[in-house]
Amino acid sequence: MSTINLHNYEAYFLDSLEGNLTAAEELQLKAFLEAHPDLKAELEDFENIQLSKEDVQFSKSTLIRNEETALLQKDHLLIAGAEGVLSPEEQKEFNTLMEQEPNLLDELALYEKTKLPQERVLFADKDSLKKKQGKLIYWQFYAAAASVAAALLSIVLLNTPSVEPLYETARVQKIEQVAFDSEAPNFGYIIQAEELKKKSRPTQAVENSFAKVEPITNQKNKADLDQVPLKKLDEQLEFAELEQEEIQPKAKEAQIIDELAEQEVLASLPEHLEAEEPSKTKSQSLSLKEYAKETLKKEVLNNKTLTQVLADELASATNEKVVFEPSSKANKKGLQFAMNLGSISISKK
Amino acid sequence: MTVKEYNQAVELFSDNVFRFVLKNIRDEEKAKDIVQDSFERMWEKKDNVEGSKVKSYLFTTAYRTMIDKIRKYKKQGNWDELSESDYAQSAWHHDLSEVLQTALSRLPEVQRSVVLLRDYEGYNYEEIAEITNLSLSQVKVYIFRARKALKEYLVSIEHVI
Repeated sequence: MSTINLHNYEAYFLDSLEGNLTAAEELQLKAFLEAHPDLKAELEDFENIQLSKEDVQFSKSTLIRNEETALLQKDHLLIAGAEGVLSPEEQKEFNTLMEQEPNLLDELALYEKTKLPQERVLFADKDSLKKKQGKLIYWQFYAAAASVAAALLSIVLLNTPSVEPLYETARVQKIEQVAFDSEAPNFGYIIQAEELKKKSRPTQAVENSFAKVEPITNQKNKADLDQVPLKKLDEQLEFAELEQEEIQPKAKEAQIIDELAEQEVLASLPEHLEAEEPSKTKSQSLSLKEYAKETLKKEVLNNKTLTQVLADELASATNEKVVFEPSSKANKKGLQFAMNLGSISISKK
Repeated sequence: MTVKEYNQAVELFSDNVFRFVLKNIRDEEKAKDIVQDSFERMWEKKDNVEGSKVKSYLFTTAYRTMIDKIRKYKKQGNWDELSESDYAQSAWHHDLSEVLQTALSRLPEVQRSVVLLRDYEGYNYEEIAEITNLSLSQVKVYIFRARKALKEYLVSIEHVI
């Protein structure tokens, strides 16, 4: 090392502090300081510049990552806490962490916020996904319903009450016993009434393939009619008129026939029976009677048969062609009936 | 599985499956297709599906169908990835739910799926693992990472707002 001077004394000072000077150099430094006493203070400052040892520890837990999630342990604990999946050991660690760093509560709240709120989304086209289990059942149902409807229609049409009552013995006999029972058909009795009224015609049995009507004498008929309870007759008329408003169109023609038949019977009743009818229903029944009487006067007494009158009345009420025809067969006792209702034709021989 | 049970599954789960798929791919028409396919596949396998496993089966099928479709669409170039600008625009929401939806859309597919199954359907990790065909550990890792990503997004949006 060269001789100490004002240009290199700092190096001597530093080496002196670090113990790197030789004895000769120490003597040179001492002589230099005596020659320059103002630099002694600077050397003392050099001596004071020395860092003391400090015990510093770094928190390694902040760098440790969780072996399972590879996240920092702190984050792992916070997320597991928010998820609610902390193990017992993790729960203890979590509690300790939160005690040490209370500010982590805010971070925990943020993790709680990452949970998606429930949101309803509708799939509108569910029907396109469904399998049609009921398809065959529906078809079967409709088929069954159609069959039932067809059967009912057939029954209604085939039982149109202008045909069978005319030839049904049992029902005609019932008329004889209870002349105006509501269930009793009227045609047989109409025929009887016609025979009674005209008197000129011989009493005859009405025979056909369905039933037979017993011969009726004037005396017998009158005796039967005398026994007819008048009250029942009125009830019959009232019932007929009330029912008329409610009946279905398909049954309307049957109702009309019944009414006309009743009027025919009424027309043949003795006058004293008519006079005893209660006034309450008299106006209604009189109007019907008058209608029947007028019609019969005009038509029946004008060389027109009763069946023809009925057929005409029925035709005018239904706008359909209705024909009653005497059988052209040998015994000429049967009757032939034909009725056209729209596209449906019914006939009985 | 009877027809009645199948139709009940439609009533009970089609909304959930649709939501799951829709939130994943954000395309209503494609989501509908995937739901249709999922139910159709379940019907084809109806004899092997127990009543108690119907929901799980549906989500499993929907998830796999969705992954297949995404791959297929991507190959065909029919898959529109959301760009960063989309994210930036949609980030200007003030509602937490909307922000979360945006954050959700930024997650990787698998993370998004497991979070949706977890939060919307309430599945545990084992069930999610079964549905997604992942290991239990993988499910946990994906969920934890997804949570961290969502949290960071929320923080970043808070700073922006």
